[in-house]
Amino acid sequence: MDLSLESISLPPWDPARADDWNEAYEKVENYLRACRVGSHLQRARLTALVLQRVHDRLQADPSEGDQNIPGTAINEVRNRIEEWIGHYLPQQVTQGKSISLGNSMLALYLGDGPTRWPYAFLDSANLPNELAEVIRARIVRTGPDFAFSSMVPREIDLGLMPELMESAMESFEDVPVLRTVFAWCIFLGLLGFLFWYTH
Amino acid sequence: MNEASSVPPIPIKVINPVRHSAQRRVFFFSCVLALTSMAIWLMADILWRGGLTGVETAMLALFVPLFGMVAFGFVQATIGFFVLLKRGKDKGEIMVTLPSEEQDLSQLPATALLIPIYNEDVPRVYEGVRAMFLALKEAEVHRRFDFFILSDSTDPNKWIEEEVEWIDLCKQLNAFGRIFYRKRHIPINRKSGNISDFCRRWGKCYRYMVVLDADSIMEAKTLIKMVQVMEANPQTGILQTVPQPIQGETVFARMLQFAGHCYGPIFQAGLNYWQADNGNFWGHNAIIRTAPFIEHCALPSLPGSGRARFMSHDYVEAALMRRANYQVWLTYTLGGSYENLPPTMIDCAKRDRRWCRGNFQHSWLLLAQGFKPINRLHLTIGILSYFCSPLWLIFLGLGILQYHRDEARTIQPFDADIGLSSYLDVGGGKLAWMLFIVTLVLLSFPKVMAWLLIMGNRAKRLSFGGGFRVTLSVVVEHLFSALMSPILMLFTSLSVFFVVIGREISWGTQCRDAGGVDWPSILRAHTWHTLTGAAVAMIAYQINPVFFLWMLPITVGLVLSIPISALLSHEGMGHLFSHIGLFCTPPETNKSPLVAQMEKRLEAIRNELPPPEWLQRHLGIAQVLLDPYINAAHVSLMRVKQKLTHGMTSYYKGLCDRLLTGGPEALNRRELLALLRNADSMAFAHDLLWKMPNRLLPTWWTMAMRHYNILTSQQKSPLYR
Repeated sequence: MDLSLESISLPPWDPARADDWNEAYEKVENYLRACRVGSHLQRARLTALVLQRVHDRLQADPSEGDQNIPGTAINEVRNRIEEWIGHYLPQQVTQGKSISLGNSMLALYLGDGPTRWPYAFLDSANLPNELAEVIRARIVRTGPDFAFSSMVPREIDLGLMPELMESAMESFEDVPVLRTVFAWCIFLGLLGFLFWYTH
Repeated sequence: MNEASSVPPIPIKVINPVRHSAQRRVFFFSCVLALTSMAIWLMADILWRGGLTGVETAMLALFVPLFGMVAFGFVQATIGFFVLLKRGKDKGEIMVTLPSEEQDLSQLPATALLIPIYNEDVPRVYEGVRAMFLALKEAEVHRRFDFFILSDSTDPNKWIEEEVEWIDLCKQLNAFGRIFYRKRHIPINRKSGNISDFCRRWGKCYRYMVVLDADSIMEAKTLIKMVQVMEANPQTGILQTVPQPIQGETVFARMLQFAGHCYGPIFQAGLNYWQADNGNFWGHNAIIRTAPFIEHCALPSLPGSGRARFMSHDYVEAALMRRANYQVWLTYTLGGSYENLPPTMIDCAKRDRRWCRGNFQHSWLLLAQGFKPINRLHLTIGILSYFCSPLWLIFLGLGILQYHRDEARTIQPFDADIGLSSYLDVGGGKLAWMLFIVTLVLLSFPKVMAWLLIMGNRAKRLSFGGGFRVTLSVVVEHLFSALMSPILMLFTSLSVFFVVIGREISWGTQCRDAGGVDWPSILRAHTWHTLTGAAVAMIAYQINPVFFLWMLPITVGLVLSIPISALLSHEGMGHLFSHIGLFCTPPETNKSPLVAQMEKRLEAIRNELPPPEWLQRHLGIAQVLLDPYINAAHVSLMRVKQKLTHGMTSYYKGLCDRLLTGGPEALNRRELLALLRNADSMAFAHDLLWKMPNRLLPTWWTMAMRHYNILTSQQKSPLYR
């Protein structure tokens, strides 16, 4: 993207869809802010460029005009980001798989790309070599590699205990009524005992 | 990642700490038996006037395990006292095998540090990891230790917070490939399942693993020494350290912290004296030899129709390790191993309730084949430690009944000069006093011995804030613990009762005031204690005013349980106590750089301006949907994409629609988790959220977008807590 100051020009004023363009501006700016583009100037330039592109596309294909302009603008900015990162990682391959946009975004973030090079964000014309290096170095590979072990539980010979406990406990735990009866028996037994003992 | 170490262990043994362990055990248990039998005799003699009634027989039967536990603790502390009093190293401690000559630390075998987490305080966990990583780096051994944060969190927001913090931490420390994060989608078998999952996937890569708790940290030198000791003792399967409590803010936590530091050493030395190589595993702050653990310590399910799993896995794993003839040691002299304690009595009761359930499951194993007798004893003590509370309660109840009955019949049994009292030339009443005083001494004297040890050593005394402060702290701690004992007895008794009838106890959520006191919880938890205490006091007074006085140590604590609990939970009072040096502990006076660094960072994090409450409640969801980087990170960390059936696709699409059109409140926790687990849905939802016109978005999302703007403009960290 051409990011010279001369390139900043907002799309022509269209009173009929002013609210849509306003919302598109707000969304694109917010999205760039979420991408950690901290510079107001850079955000304004990029937002203007994105909106200009959307406008140009609408001019070329008026049928797109029926679509939601903020959504189209966000689509545009995301495509720009993908294209821009693709510049840095043209044919990078890890373990036979292409690096996804997600991984590239993560690499960009880990390399502090937008913070350290705020004016290079989406600028295809002036790619700092250092940024490219940082992004390449920061591609995260999941790991560590598995080294599988078999950890199979072995039954413990519990001796006499299961025979002593199992049947009683099973019926006790499985029948909620029994639990309630047990609690009430304790209470009534206690009352009865107190009565007997104090008389 | 470290490769599986091919460095052979170097068996250098200077002293055999197992030597004489059998004799030590005989001596220890003989002392316990002698003390208990003498007390039983005294008790029987007191009760045996005019023949034993049913109630008296029951009281005597209950007295045996109750006094047995008291005698056990006393003998353990006394022996520990003499062990510590002796100059030089304890030859029965595993650390004597640590080679004295300098070793090449670059040759240390690969060790994994495991931090299993479950909906924990994320900054606390990660700052602990940061502090340990930096300490290991400073010691130039960080390449020999890998960190694994093993998450079983079920809170969607915690999950995202954990992921984001992990990325941020690795970024800041340049620690990708050294600190790993794993989230289990299905948390089978809780913590032990989490550890087993690690063992199955990566266990082979590491000769040792150090298991930590979410709130525990360890010094680099401690970790290094643990590995060295394991290397020097190839037959050792588990080496357990004693975690020292730190960072107590409330009065309760500070008091427990002080008790741990002040009284703990004599009990630990005594414990090591009799258990030697038959030690126990406490679940964390321990190093484990991975291969035998994988081979022998996989836990089967419990018998019964539900095929439940062991909730307290640690004791069982120690028993299984011992069954495989690997030693399990406790090291009480190593130091540099820390943990946090529950801040309030209610939190402590909640923790105890979990442990109680787990310990009761161990009753299945008491007769298990191949277990060592000492492991059976560990399991029994674990069960008894909870069962003693209801036994004490029943004992007290029977005592009241017996007293009432004797009063009603105007019998004065203590005046009769029969039985042992006739030979000792004392009346029955004096005999009862004697037993009462002996019991008090057995309960209190360990604290006196611990105090004496501190007072006799200038450096130790100063580390506790000086002689006056440590003395005052011991007195105040003793007073509070006496008041707390009946409250904790009722808490534990209720837990035992609910475990027996298979019921869960609900505690509700916390709601603390400015001083950190959660009044609704305190009132909910303690009102019945107060009423019980008042009722017992009234009954005792009705029976006899003298009996009322005898019951005061029990009833005062119960009646005042609400103000006691409020005072103990008060952070402001805790800070005041800290300011005046009450309950001062060595880690406070000689703060470890590791702990200091962690506290400093945590303090800074807590001082950051948090997002508004409505956003904070769903911050994780907001972040993962709004933030392109966090969304990318989450999607990247998901499994390889799976092909979904048409029904599943519709289900996820429905969830996305509800989330975007209704806000996070529209989905329950399970639905949010399901959505978070599906990478495609998360990428789709992120895309759609940004593309949706504002008029179609609910207020929650439009507000969240605006607030997120402010949050992302803070350049401190992306982890706006």
